[in-house]
Amino acid sequence: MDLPSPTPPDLEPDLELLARVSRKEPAAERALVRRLFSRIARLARLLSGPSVDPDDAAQLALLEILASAGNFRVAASLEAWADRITVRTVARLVRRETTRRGLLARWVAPGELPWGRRLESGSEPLGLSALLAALSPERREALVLRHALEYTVEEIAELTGAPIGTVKDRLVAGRKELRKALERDARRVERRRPS
Amino acid sequence: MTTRDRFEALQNRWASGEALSPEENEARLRHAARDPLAARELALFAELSAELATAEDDDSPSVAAVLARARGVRLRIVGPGEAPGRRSSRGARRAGLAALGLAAAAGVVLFVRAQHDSVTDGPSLRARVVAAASATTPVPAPVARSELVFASGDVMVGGEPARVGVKTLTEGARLVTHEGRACVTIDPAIDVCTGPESELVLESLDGTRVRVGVRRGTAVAALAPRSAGHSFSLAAGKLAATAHGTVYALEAKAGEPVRITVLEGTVAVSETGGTTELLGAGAGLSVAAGSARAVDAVGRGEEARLRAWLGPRDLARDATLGVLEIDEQGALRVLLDDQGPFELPLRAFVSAGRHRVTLRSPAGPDRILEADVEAGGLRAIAPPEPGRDVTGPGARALLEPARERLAHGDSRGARALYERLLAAHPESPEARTILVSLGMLELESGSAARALATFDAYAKVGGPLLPEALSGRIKALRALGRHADEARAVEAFLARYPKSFEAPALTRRLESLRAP
Repeated sequence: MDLPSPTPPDLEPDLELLARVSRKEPAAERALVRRLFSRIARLARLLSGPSVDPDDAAQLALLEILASAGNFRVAASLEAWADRITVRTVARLVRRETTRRGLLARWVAPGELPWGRRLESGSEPLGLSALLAALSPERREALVLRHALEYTVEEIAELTGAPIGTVKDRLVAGRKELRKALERDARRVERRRPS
Repeated sequence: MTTRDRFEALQNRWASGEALSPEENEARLRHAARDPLAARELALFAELSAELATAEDDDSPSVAAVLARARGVRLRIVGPGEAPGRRSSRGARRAGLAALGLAAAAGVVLFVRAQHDSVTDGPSLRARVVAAASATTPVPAPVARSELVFASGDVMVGGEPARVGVKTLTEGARLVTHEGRACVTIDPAIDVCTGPESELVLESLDGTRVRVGVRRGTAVAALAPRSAGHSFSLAAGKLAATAHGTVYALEAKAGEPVRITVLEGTVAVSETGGTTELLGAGAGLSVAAGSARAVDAVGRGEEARLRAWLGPRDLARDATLGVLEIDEQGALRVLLDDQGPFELPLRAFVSAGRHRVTLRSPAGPDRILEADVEAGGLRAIAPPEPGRDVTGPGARALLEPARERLAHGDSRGARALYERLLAAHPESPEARTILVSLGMLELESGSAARALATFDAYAKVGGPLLPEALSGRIKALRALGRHADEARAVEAFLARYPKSFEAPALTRRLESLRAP
């Protein structure tokens, strides 16, 4: 699907940077990773959920970005292009990890599988990433794409390969799930508050 | 319809990407001003919107880890090198949320303003991000990547036992060898190896002026020609031996003159406040305080000794590398392919592929193992003590941390421990139990052939995990493209486990395999 894209800003410096990265110039690789690392790390943290190490996901996404520098196609910005690669990379990791854990859980006793990040944190309210981690991967991905990256529903559908109606369902269901997580968290904080 | 119901309906429409009218937005926000949970929800979405709005350069060790991995080297950042703001900012964010909970009204006001901006003529978040992206980023000054690539015997880095492939070395890093030897690679194309009882300090990693201080002992350097304006020096006190592409050594032994030996190329030897001398290939210079300098010829014995320290460079000649670790075991020493013998423990980058490991004991015959090292992988070997029954206690001690690593998503670490367990305790019950888990990890990392061998090993003896082993075997055959074998394996599986939860999918797969 051809999507209307915003007018690209002056991308010449970025195209030059990516060309140098594709030639494997160390200084250019370093400049690109330095520029994107913080953003990609934050995006990976939002997307990765409880089963994937967000640092590892960010590293893999950045490796993918470095390897894809020669295939850069005009996008709204270098960051937008990198975001799409990150979304795909993390989604792949989440799917793989979910499958692997499902299989491993079949023959390892539940007590021996202490994986999953600890979500609760004393009497403090949960943070954004922890609350998002409570959602199903597809709903989490849809919410992050819509509200953190400001993708349109059509763009999300194109990126995730899901029909538009499904994307809308995921956004609404994700929001409701998030609301329930907030309610659970509020009750938990209330219980733990010193009397 | 209550205000809560209306809020829910509006919030669902907004969440699904629908634009709300200003009146509908106002209604939503009015409800949030009275309902703390609604206020927190709006604050949460506002935080999500702002999460990626800032653009900042990062230069944490994690950046170096990514760059190292891009070159085929797996690094695991330890200590302070965590993702930027991972824990601290998370904590700060939690604190911020707590504050939001207490001051929901303030959050709502902020949210109203943000919504108002986006509805009216304020710049959208995407526009701001695009604007930030269009700003040019200055290219940072080059810093030479420096890394320990080989350590054999008693080697310390920064006061701790040396590890290879864990983190890069920073300026000021101190490398000390006792009964051991080590090599450091500094980009681009500089190898510095030491003999025993040596101490090196990375004095400068400025990409244009790399300098390694030799506090004591021997350092042998081999480097490709430097480009204009770039230099490399070995230094001892006021003495510096600078090269632009050569093989040479500097030895600084207590009570003896500092000795510079040039094996290839040309080296400029200078002393602070003194003159500079040029040494050509085959020339040696001994410099003692207060005495005249005398250039002499390098003997064959001296040349052979110094070149031998550079030998480990040949272990990692290819572009694709992995890490090989062999633990210490009694008086064993090890030959790696044709290199060595080396003291244990040994930690080294080696070319990806199969390596011959010869365990040499002072008493008894050599034992030869073969070790497959994958690109970017870690292969750990725990050599069995000669003459000792290797079964029994110890396997469990390896199994627990392996499971723990797996639990935390560290598949590679878990796999390394599983392999170590198999090597050290091949006959233990734990070794059989882990075969299926190991096969899954191998399959996941793309080593389908090894995974197949691992699943076969389990299937050969059987056990409670046989369904998983046979299922894994099917996946490995599929990954290897051995469709005829895969079809036979699927048939056998379905005949044995017709009611397995995988049976429907495997039946479909079998049909597609049989389709013309």
